[in-house]
Amino acid sequence: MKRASLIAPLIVIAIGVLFLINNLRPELSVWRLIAGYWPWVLVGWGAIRTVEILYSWQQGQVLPQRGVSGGEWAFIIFLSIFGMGTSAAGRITNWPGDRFNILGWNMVGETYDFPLHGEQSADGVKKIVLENLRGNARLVGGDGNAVKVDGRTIIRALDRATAERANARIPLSLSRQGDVLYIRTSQERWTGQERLSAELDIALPRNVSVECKGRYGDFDVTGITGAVDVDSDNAGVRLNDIGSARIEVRRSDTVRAANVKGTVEVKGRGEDLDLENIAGQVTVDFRYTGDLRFRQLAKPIRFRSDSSEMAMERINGEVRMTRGEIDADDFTGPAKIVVRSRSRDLKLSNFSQSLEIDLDRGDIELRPNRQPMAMIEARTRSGAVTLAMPSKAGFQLSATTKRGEYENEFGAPLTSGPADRGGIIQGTTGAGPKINVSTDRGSLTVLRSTGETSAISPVSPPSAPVAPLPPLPKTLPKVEQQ
Amino acid sequence: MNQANLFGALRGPVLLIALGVLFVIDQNGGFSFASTWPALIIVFGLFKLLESLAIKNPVGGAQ
Repeated sequence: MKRASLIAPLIVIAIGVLFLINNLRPELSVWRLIAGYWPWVLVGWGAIRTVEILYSWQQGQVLPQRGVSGGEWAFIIFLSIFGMGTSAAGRITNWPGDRFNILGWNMVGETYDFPLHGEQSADGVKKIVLENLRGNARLVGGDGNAVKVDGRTIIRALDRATAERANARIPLSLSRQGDVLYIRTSQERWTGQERLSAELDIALPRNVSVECKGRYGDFDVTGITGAVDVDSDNAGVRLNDIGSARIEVRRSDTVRAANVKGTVEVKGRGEDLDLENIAGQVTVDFRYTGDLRFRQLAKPIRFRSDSSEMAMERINGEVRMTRGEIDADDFTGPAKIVVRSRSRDLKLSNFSQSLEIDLDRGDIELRPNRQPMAMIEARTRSGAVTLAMPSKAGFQLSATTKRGEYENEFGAPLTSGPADRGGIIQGTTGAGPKINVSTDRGSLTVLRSTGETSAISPVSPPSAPVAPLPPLPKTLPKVEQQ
Repeated sequence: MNQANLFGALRGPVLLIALGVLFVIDQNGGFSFASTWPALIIVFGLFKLLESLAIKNPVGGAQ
């Protein structure tokens, strides 16, 4: 008799194992595992079936007409759609792996609320450390001289008695060591299955620095003159009107900092990042899946993610980065943008000082619109290049496409001609810097720019106009906590 | 039983592996599935080609 395929029993076993892991090791999120590795199921399935067919061919058995039946394909298509959904959800949102704990404790039971309150004088306190494992916290600096905590503990448990026992184990504590005041919700003391979290509203004096630690929950800090340091596995972070910031998140739906008087350092992974009106240097090492926005950064910014790197000396306008595009308007160089492996279209306008661009894939559109021109060195391996040069500026242009159409709409004194399987547009107008742009494959257009905004929004040159870019610092010197 | 049958039977599983690999590439930040799916058509075509070649030259055959 022909043996039936091993696939069906293996799938049944796999489903059982997944549920077992989910129940025995709740800290491993099965959903996250599925979201991360589901395509391997397809690969494994195909591999097993291949081996089976080769085996029966060798044994001289009758081969099935089709290696994978129609019903199986239907299931595969369903799995692919479902899998793409989970991976997309894993990328985009804080996939609440534990909230979907199927057949675990968390689907059952009820939530019980307990009020939280604490207050302590903050005389001589320079730093406040908040340790809240789960839950959201809002910290607001004010004129008072005390630390006031209000909020509630939320406990999800099977019955009230268990919830009360858990609540009794985790009293809110405000304790002081030297000039540091610790606020702890002590959720780690409860080892049961119940889910605990605390929602906190904290009022504090303005002139302190703050350190927030947590595993899951948002931090919202406003109105503090000191440094803010956030470290969380999964947090939305919103900071406004603070001294300086250091943020480290393993996962985040949004990180936003506005009106910061000192440096900002962001590390980790997340969806969106938004920095606005920052007076100090900005260092970002962030794998993002959503949008990044940088507006009004007075000091240099060093940005790095898994595929791209960017450095600018000052952003007066806005730089926006999405999954497919980088748009920058009104910034000061020397600037450098490098994108590897991913495809990104670049649109840069109204910039001064030198610019360096290196793309693997993506279009480049440059409209410097500022005088005097500075050196530009831009290349893409695949993508269209559009260059809009100011008509009165002095520069020496050399623009090439190795393969693609080319069009000189700037006209004289620039000349164009074929080269390779593409073309070259070159020429010199007056005395000016070298402008080199090239694409290996894609169209090339040089325009005469019309909207010359140099007279409308003059930019004060940075103190060291053509200083070379300093290397990207690994970490910023940590802000002294006084 | 000849090679044409073998290629016909292997087509599905190999397509499945290719599908999985494309999704793995997509997930790990390489090319997105939206741009790589034509590879599946190529694999399908290759197998069709091998099948028809195998029918014209029935080498191998039953062993």
